[in-house]
Amino acid sequence: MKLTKNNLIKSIINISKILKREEKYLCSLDQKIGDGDHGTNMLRGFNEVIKLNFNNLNIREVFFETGNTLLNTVGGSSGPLYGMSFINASEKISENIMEEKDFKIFVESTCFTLEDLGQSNLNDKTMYDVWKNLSIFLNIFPEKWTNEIIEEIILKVKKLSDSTKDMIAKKGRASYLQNRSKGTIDPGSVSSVYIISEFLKGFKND
Amino acid sequence: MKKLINKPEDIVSEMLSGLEKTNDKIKYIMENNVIVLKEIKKNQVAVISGGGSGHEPAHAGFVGEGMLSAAVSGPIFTSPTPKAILRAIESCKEAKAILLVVKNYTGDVLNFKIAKQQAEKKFNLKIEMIIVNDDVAVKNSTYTIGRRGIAGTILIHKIAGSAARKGLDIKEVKKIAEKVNLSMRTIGISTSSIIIPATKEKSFELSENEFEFGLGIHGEPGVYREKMKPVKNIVKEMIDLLLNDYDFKNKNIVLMLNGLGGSPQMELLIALNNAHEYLNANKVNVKHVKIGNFMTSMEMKGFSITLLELDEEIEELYMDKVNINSWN
Repeated sequence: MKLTKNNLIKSIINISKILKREEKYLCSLDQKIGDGDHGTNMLRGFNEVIKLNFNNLNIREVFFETGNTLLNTVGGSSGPLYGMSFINASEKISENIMEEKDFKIFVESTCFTLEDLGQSNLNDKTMYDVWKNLSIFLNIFPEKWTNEIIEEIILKVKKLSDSTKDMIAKKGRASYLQNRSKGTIDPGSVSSVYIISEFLKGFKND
Repeated sequence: MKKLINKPEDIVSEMLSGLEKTNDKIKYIMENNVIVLKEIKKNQVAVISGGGSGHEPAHAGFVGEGMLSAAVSGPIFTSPTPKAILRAIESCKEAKAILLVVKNYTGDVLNFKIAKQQAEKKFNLKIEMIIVNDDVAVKNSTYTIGRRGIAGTILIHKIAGSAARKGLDIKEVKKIAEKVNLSMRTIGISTSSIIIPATKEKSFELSENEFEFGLGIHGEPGVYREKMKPVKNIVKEMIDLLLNDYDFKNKNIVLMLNGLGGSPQMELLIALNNAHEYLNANKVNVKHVKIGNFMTSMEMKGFSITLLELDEEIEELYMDKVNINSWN
C-alpha cells in the first residue's frame, strides 16, 4: 500500500480537523493530570501546519516542515517531542511516496526521539506507551499490508492509549500526582492515536 | 467565571506591551514575546530566563540591570518554543556569555535544551544552563522527573544577575547560581484553584473547607488536601517540611514569602509573621525577609515559603541594590 504526498497532506488536514473537534476532550484529560491545555496547544500547532505551502515539497520536506512548525508553535513538551519526531523521520523516509516500511521508519524514529529527548520508558503513562508498543506490534505483520491489517492496527493503537488509564505517571507534570494520576488516559497518547490513525487511513484510501 | 481580558489569544502580547510601557530601559520583541534590556553590556554575562506565562511578574518583570538581561514568555503555563528562546539569546548575543535559568519542568527543559543547541551552532557564544528545582513537595524518586522549580527561581535571578553585573565570568556565575539552587527550599499551599483563560473554567475543584498542600504554580493540584486550619498551623507544617529536608538550624537565611497572586497582603503578612516566629523558635536565624508576589499562578490564593541559606558571597550579591520594580 502506498501513501502519496496528496494523501499525506489530506491526513494532516484531517488531524487538524479532529484536533478541532476534540480540543476540549484533550484539555479535559490534561486538566485531570496536567495543566489542561494539551488540546489547545496541539490545535494551535496543526492549524499552523495546514497553513504551510506544501507545493514543490517532497514527502521528506513535508515531514521536516511539519516537524519544524510543531516544534515552534505547540510549546510545552509535546512541541519538541512531536516536532523532533517528524524532523528525525524526515531524514530517513522515502522522498516521493510512503510505503509500509516508511511508516515503520516514522514510528521507530518517534520512539527514538521520545527515548532520546524525553527519556521515556514503557509504562510511564506517556505517548511512548502507544508508539513503542505499536512498533513492536507492527512486527507481526507481513511486509505488505491489507485494509484489514490497517483496521487492526488502528484498533490496537486506540487500545494502547486506553491502557494508559490505569498507569501511574512517571513523566511530566502528571508524575507529581503519583497515585492520583491513575484513572485518566494520558492526553498525549490520545493525540498520538489521532495522528497515527489518520496517517494509516491515508494508506487505506489509496 | 469572569476575567478582565480581551481575546484569550492576545493575553501575552497585550500584557507584555503593557510591561514595556512601564520601563524605558526595556524593549518588547512582539514576534517572539521576548522582553530584553535595550542596552546589553559586552563585558557581562547575560542571564536569561523564561517559561509559560501566568506567573507574573516572573519572568519578564525581572528584566533589569542586576537581574535578567532578557526573558521569554510562552503561552499561559506553556513553555516558550525553541524559536522564541533562540530569539531571546540572539537579542543578548553582544554579551560575554549567556546563562539560561530554567525551571525544572519537562517542557521548559526540552525547549531550552533544543534552543541552546541551535544557538551554539548559530552564534559564536558560550552558553550555560541551570535547572532550578527548589520545590520540596515533590519527592525525588524514580516516579517523578524530580523537583519543580518555583519561587526560589527569583532568588537565582537576583543573585546570578548581580554576579553577572560584577563582571564575573560564565563559570563563576553558573557556580554561584548552582550554589543558590542547592542552598534553598520552597513549599507552597493554596486555598483556591485558578481560572483557565481559554476555557474560563476552574483548573480544579476545591471545597470550602479544604486547602491544597504542596501545589505547583500551574493550577495543577497539590500533593494532598487537608481540612482548613489557622494559618499559623499551616505555616508550621510547611516549615517543618522545609527543615526536615535541609538543615537550616543556626544558619543565616533569607525568608521569602511569595504570594501566588490572589491573596491580600494582609494574609501574606500574617503568614510571614508566623513563619518568622516559628523559624526563630527553631533556632533558624532569619537575616533578611522578602515579601511580595514574585512567582504567581494568576489569581490563585495562597503562598509559598522559600528559605535560602546565606554565606558571605550569596549575601553580598543578594543585598546588591537593583532598580527593578518587581523586586524592590
